[in-house]
Amino acid sequence: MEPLSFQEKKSLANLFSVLLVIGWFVWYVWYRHPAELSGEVDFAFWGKTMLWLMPLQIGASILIHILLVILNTIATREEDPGIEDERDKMVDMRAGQFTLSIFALGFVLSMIPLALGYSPVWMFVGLAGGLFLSQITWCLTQFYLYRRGY
Amino acid sequence: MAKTQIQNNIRKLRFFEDEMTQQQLAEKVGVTRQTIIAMEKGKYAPSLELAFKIAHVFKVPLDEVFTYHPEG
Repeated sequence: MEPLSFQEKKSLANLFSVLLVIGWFVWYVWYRHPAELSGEVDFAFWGKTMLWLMPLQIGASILIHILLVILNTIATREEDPGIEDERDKMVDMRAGQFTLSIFALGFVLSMIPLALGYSPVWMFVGLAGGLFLSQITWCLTQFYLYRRGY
Repeated sequence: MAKTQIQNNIRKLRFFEDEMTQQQLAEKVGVTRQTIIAMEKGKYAPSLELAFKIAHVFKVPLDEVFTYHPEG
């Protein structure tokens, strides 16, 4: 098996940062505020929680990226390429297409609980689920495309 | 691994260019070393612009670097 390139390691590191944020979401909603999953819907709580996802994801990605660069440089003496070339852009574009499709599907599926008369809480959970699934798809598609060549 | 229908002689041309490294070639044409590796393995077909840049570095015509091999 070929050793992993920096871009492949970066895709896996991004996947790890997504898993960290999912872990935070599950911990925050299910363990810190379990009451929010039943009873009256607190839209302010869900609005804040969803808004927190973005900075948390950006922060986690930056932190994991810094750690990856340091550990990778120590282990392999190979530095971050530092540029994004045409292959990177094509991989990003293709992974982006899959990601957008999954997110759109997640958005549509998150409307089902509302249509069936369930609490809007499940719409928010569905939206977050779609978002996480699309980010996981992004990382895995990138990894696959880099591994394949494009 | 999927191979493209466009094959190349980049490895051979690097050798005749005083064993130019992949990193040196990557810097000359403005891509990452990983892209050069993917091309040498026949896993990535470059854009026309990048193909011309590579041919220009080796000072040879484009068809001495890249050749088209249709399937079947």
